[in-house]
Amino acid sequence: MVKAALLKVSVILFALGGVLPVRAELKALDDEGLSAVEGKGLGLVFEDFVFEHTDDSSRGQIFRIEGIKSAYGASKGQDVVVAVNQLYIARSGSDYGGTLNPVNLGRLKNPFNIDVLDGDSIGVEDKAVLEIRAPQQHAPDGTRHKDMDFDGAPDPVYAEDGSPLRDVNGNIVLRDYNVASAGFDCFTGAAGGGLCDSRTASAAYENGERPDLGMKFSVKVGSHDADSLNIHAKAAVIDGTRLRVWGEGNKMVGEFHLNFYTPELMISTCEDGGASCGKALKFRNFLLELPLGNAHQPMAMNVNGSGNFVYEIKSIAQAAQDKFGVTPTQLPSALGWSGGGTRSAAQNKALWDWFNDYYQDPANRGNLYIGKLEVHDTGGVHDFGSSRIENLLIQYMKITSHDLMK
Amino acid sequence: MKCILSGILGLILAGSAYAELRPVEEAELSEVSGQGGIYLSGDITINEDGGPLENAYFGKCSDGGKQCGARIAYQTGENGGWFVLDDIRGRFSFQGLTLRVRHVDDGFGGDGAAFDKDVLEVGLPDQVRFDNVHYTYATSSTARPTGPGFQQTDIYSVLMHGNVTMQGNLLIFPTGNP
Amino acid sequence: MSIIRILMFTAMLPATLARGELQSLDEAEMGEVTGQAGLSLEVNANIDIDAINYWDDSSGLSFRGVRISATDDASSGAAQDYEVAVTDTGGLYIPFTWTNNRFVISDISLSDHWDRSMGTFVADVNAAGRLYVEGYQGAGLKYSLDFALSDSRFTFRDQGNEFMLDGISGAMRAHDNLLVFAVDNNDPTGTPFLYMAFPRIQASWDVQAIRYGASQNALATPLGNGGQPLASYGGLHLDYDMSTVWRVHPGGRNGAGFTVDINTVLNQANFRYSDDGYALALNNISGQWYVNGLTLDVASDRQGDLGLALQLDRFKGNLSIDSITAGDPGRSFGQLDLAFDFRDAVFNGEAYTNRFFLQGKGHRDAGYQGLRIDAEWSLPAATISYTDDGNRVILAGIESWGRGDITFDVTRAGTVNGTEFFDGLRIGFEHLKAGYRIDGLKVGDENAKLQGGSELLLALELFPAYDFTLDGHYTLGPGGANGEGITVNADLFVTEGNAALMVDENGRGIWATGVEYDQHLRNMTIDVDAQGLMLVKGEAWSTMDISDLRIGGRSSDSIGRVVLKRFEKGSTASIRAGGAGELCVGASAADASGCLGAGGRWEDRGEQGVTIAIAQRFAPAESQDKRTQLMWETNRREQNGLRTNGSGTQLIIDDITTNDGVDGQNSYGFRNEISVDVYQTRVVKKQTGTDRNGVYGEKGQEKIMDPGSPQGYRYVTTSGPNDTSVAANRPLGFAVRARTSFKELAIGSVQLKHPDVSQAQTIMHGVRLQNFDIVSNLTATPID
Repeated sequence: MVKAALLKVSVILFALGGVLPVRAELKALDDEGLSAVEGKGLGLVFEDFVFEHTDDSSRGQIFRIEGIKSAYGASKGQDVVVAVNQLYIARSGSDYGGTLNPVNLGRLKNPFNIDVLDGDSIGVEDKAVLEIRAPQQHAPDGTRHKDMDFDGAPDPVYAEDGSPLRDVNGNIVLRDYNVASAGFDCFTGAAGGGLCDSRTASAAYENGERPDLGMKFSVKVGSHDADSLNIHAKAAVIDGTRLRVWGEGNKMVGEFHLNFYTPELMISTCEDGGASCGKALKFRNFLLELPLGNAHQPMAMNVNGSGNFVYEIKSIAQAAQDKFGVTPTQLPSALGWSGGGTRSAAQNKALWDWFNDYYQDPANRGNLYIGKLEVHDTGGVHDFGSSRIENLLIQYMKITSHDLMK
Repeated sequence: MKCILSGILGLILAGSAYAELRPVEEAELSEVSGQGGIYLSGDITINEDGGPLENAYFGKCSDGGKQCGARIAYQTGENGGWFVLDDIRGRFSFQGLTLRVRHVDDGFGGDGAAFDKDVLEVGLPDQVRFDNVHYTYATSSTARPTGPGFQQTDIYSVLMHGNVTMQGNLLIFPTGNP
Repeated sequence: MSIIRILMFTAMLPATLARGELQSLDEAEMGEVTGQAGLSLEVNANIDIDAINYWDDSSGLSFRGVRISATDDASSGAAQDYEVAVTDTGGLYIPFTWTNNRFVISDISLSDHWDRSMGTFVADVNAAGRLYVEGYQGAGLKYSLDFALSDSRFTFRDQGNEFMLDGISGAMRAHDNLLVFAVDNNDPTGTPFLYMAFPRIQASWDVQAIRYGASQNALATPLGNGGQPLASYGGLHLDYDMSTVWRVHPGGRNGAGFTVDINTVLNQANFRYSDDGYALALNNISGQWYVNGLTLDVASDRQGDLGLALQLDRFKGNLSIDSITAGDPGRSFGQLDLAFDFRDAVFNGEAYTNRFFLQGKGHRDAGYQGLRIDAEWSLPAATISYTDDGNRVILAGIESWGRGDITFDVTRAGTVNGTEFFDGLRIGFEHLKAGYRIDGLKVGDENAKLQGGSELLLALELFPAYDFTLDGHYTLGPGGANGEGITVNADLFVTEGNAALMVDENGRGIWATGVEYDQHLRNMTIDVDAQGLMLVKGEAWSTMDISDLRIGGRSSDSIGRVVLKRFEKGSTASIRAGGAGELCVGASAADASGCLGAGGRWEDRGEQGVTIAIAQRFAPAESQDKRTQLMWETNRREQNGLRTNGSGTQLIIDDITTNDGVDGQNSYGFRNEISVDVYQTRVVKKQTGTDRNGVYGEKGQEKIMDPGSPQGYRYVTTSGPNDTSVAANRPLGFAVRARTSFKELAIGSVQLKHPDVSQAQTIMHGVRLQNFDIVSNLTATPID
């Protein structure tokens, strides 16, 4: 048996953006929204939930992640010990894990859910699909202007040069955020203000369904002093997150869509045992919508024959070849690129439709948005403004581990 | 001829051998009140001193140098390698893990009234004491550590010990099309 | 009205004398008056009667081929000697001996089906006894009877196959019995009735061996073709000391006949089943019961077929078994008490009563002989209480009901008209619709709060509520794994089943509905050994198909269909007296001080209790039925309000097997060892406030029993698990220690299946779980 080694990761190909222009921004998963697919299977709701574990040797509390060895630099080969000083999930308003009160996770009408789906309804034809998911999001039924970046004005649409887009009359074009009348804003929790279904805590409903969660840990490499790292998320929402798996060929494949919304994600580094944390990064209105794999190009997690880990999102070109027998070199003619890539120009309409679905489906697109990034230190608060990555489309990805300790 | 001796019965029954039956009280036989469900206290221990396998890889915990925990290996691709949870050990002790079926028709910020159904409620114990709870996540070339050409890469291990707060109820219920 | 005579005739059959555990067969008690000269009678009876018919209205019962002869020579007479003496008190004193007597009834039939027989009954008797009779106050008789049997035998023959109680010996004594006509002062009609009193019946009986033979011998024989004794199931012993009073009223359920009320007190009884020198014993049994409105007549059953009908209005009583032991002496499971009340009641909207129609011919393919009972029972209230080291757990609110046919045949291995038979006594079930439910457990005494706990025993398939339609059979063959014992072959088919996996007294819980459960068992041996009971399954396979698994009531929402298939070879189960014994909960230590020091709680759960150890050896799949598989199906298509099985999406965990960590070796299996005790436990309040019973407590406080408190308990602050000041008053719970271990549990594949495609997709190409040893010590108490 070979003892532990840190993973060395090779990203073979990672593509941003699409071949076809896509304009939809933060468009909801309208084909699979809450109203379209009412719950099925086995529902799970946590009521009055609190979880906490700590690492505190003075109280006989141990919570450690070990067995990892440093792979780089002077410390290469030394033991890495991660002490989880605190891991908690509790009601929002916990003061970064200081006050733990019970929270509800999931709603009775929209719980965490386990089911075996009919793949025909989600584009995985003639397959049964095992799904484990968080509460679903609502399908949008309107739009609203919002100030997500804390500048006091409704957010504009930005042009390619980074300036606000203006219409022919010179007026700033405001960004339309999708909302559902039955939904709640994923950050503020305002009713009708967004697509999330989990609700914030209130005087009338003090638990709420949006927990604070966080982890404080210190990392010790060999004999070096421990470095501390704390991550806290306030009133977090993961509505729309789901894992689906099915069988294809001779392996398990699937898709994992991670949605994570929090009005504040705070990361700080402190000396272990230090009384106060002077430095902190605060991501205000943090949004992550990360789809890994989809019905067109599922992901696969495997271990190869030599015991190494392989993570792969199938190349869309390979998927097209598997499904339609069209090789990558044949794609331009099959899709009618010379004719502008329109449907009428395409020789293979079914292939064109399939690609069109792939590029048009917003569920296949990843988004990362930070309303405002603040750096807190002894000198005060530094505002780094708003940033976003939108419509990220992974066309192919492969990660393989190599055992460095061989 | 019928000879009827009306006095005779009383006479006979007075004898102790004919003692009348003590009536079985109705209360002993019927039940009208009470609550279902159970409150469980105790502990669950995994491989306190190793498991039943003893070979080149597995042994007793007291027998240093061998793995004494449990092991789960699973394979997501045919003829591929294996994901492994190895050296699984530890004890969980608690008071107050409850189990019952409960009707929910209020609370939950208004959701309860609309829900109006039964759920299976697993009441988590307030505190669970972990004793040296441990596992290692790894990848391996063979399912068994005794397999030919066995090669394993341990990726990380987790060790948990002490009191863990685990509070609340897990509600489990059907959500639709069976 | 010849039925009384018939009854008396059968009562005389076993009347005799030999050795026995009764010491008081002395002359003095019966024979102070033997001075008078008497009459000596030597009878050599060789009687052959074609038929004795009894007619009840137009319905007949026929005993055919009734013969009395010498045991080993049908042409010789049965030797019977009687002395008749008149005593000074004017009574008759009749000592008698019967030597090598054989009594045969070749067939018993009912008049609507003369071609169906209940079978052949053969009694080989060596007996001696004494009867003393005198008049009683001009109203009847007072009599005493002693009799003993030695080297006697009773055989039930069915199509040439024999089931035999061999080597019967023992003695009984019943003195000062009364048989008088009387009236009840409280009866305004003043109708006389027959009053029969048995102030004390003492008896002790032994059966050396219960044997099975497929020898086709002309008449009962304990020897097989090779001259060796026929295979034995084991021996029996029964002794009892009881008193009973019968009141026989004229007029039966259908006008003619009679009605009996019986009042019985069982002072003491002992029962033992012995197998190669080891015994399963019910010791020091006592109880009392009464039967009201018992009638016996020839009447039509639900299908219109005649039967010898036993019907009753009420059968109520209780029975206490002081200790149940098995194996070496002193290994006690504990004490068992039963209380029951059979009477008419309504279950699930249907009225049930208690009646049994005895008919001829068992299973349709097992020949013209055999027994069939068209049975119906109704038990609306019962409790079973189990006491272990002085601590009690009560199964409260038991109800049971059922109706259907039960058949008894003695069969030989072979297939007839597609029905597979096995050697032995076949107990068949034909469309038996039955059910039971248990409200819950009470720990301590009757006043304890009702609680769950059966959930901890689900691994043993003990459902707290279950109703079903049962078909199939158990065939009990002779001989165990070696020597005496029982070999079981069974094919059981449950349909229209509804089983609760957990349930409260309002019927809310987890329900498996629409259950179809096929179980097949081949060559399972049952033996009593030094430690208790041992079961070894040759081969077993089953499919439990749960159409809907529901949370709430029987018609609440479902999470879908669940199918569990199991295929085992060589699985074993043992049932041992003695529970978990001494153990450390919450820490690991071998003694009390070590456990305390490590922060655990030391518990000595005593000598008694029950430990069940199961080793399931799951074998590689051989066919669609013979495999171990778990399947969950959901999203089934609906047709006429019903979900069509197979039309949904399925998650399949297939070909689950066990091995010893090495391919091809499978001796360790999937082991479950479950010990059941009643023991004190620590109950900590989870939230500050009043509980369901209105008792206030703070979070973290312990529940402590206190008879002075209104609810019998209160919450107090303690210093922790080892607070000795409260240890004695901690609440009792239902303590289950379960140890699950296996060397390797292998899952062949995990698959997902779409209904439109015949081939499932594999998502996991194997899961191997190795080296598991999981011990759980859980004690169940009520939720307050």
